[in-house]
Amino acid sequence: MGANSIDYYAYTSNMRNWNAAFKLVLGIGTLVFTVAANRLWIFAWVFLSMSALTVCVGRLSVHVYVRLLSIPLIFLLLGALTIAVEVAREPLAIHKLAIGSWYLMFTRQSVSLAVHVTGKALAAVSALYLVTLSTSVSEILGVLEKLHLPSLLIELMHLIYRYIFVLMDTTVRMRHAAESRLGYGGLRKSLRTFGQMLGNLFLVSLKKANRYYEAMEARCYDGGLHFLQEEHPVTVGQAVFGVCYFGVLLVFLAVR
Amino acid sequence: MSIDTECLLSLNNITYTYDDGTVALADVSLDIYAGQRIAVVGPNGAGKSTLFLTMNGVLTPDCGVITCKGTTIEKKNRKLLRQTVGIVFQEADDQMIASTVLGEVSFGPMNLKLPIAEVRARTDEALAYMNLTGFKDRPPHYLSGGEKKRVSIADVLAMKSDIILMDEPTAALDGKNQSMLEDVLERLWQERKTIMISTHDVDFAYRWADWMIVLCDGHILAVGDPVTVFLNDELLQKASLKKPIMLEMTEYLKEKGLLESGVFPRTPGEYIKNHRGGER
Repeated sequence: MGANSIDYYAYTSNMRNWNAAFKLVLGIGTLVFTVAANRLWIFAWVFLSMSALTVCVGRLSVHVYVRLLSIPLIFLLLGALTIAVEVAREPLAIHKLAIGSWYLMFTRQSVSLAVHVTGKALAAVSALYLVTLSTSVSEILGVLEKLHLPSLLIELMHLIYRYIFVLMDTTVRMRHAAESRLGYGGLRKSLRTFGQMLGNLFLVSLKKANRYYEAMEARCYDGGLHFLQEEHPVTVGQAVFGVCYFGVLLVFLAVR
Repeated sequence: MSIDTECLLSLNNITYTYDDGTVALADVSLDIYAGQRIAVVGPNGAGKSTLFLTMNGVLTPDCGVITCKGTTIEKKNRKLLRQTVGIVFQEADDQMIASTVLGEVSFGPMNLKLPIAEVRARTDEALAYMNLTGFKDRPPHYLSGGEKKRVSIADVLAMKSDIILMDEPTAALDGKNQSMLEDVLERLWQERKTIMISTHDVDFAYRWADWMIVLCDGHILAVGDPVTVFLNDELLQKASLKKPIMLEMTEYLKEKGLLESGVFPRTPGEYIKNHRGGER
């Protein structure tokens, strides 16, 4: 199950053994720098360096990385188009399209703004992808716990994360059972089956929740979820790399 | 049967009724000692799972008394019961809550409020015991069925309970994992753990157990050693149990005069030993 989910790539990443807090600081820190910067070549550098880390150090296949990037890219390009196109009553630019008494056109400023926004967003996405494609949810939760996020939230996130997969597994099984009995032949029948499946899924979830609670009680659960976590200390090489990376970004920001 | 004088757990006249009025356990009394290997058999819905959950303190009986290591269990000291008795659930998926194997196995010891170093030591020991050391970082949803079972056993081992209950552990396992399980059971027995297994596999029960409990409709029909239980045809019919193939074979061989009476080999190996002894 889920052999091509982001969760699976994070689990198989070569950067998995890096300290989770370090990866979060690297990713989120770069994100902040990117938001603060406003030069195209800085965006390009951030995008290339973050992608290189994910692909070369994390050993994620380029094909997969491009496929994952294409998801936000579609939204980005649509957004950029709306920024690039200006609407006015006067023909202000050379490239224009007249619709009645209105003009749709590209101006130098609008195109430049669109390119900047897209560049910034892509760089930001690449920085976030560095985190999500190398850090598993349990590790992120471990860092949040150290940041003293309320334990109720952490526990909820733990259970929700675990439950997503239980629920997915149950759904797949129900779907297969329905399909094997021709439950998805035709639109009417499909809708009917889907509705029944959802209702059933709700009941099964309730039942499973009870089973989980029993199992937790059997192991002396008394209101707090606590788990051991593997500690990966930051290596000297990683620390030096981190300092250099942020140093370079600072210098870039200072250049005017 | 190797029996300690110390009675670890004793159930006295336990009755449990579900909300819908079904009587799952009716007047059940049991004494459990250290180092016992107990098989619980009986048809579906006989109350095996309810018995396990009651023995661990998850379900509170309507009436009856549970005594654990000489202490009478009430609501306040249920933790003692849960510490002494561990359950390996039938569906490994139903007991996994953490998002890594390490976190999962450490959940029990963490709840016992042990010092972190002790939790780490117990978790590592349980993982090594079940040959799972390389799986520490793995999320439960990327484990195979057999690996999940091993994790669920490690979960309970890490709590170091004296009594381990296993609800149909062989049900979902392939041949290789079944023999892995039997090896683990053998090792645990040598460490004088009490193991109680509910099963539909009469051949396994006959081969492995030294004590049997036959449950039917919430009642204990019989308690005794496997040979006595499985020779009682009336009992077998009442509890819809099949006769183990080794016992059937033994009876056949005795009928043909190939095996002396009074001998009940539990495995083919034991049969050969007896047979050669007879030749000499």
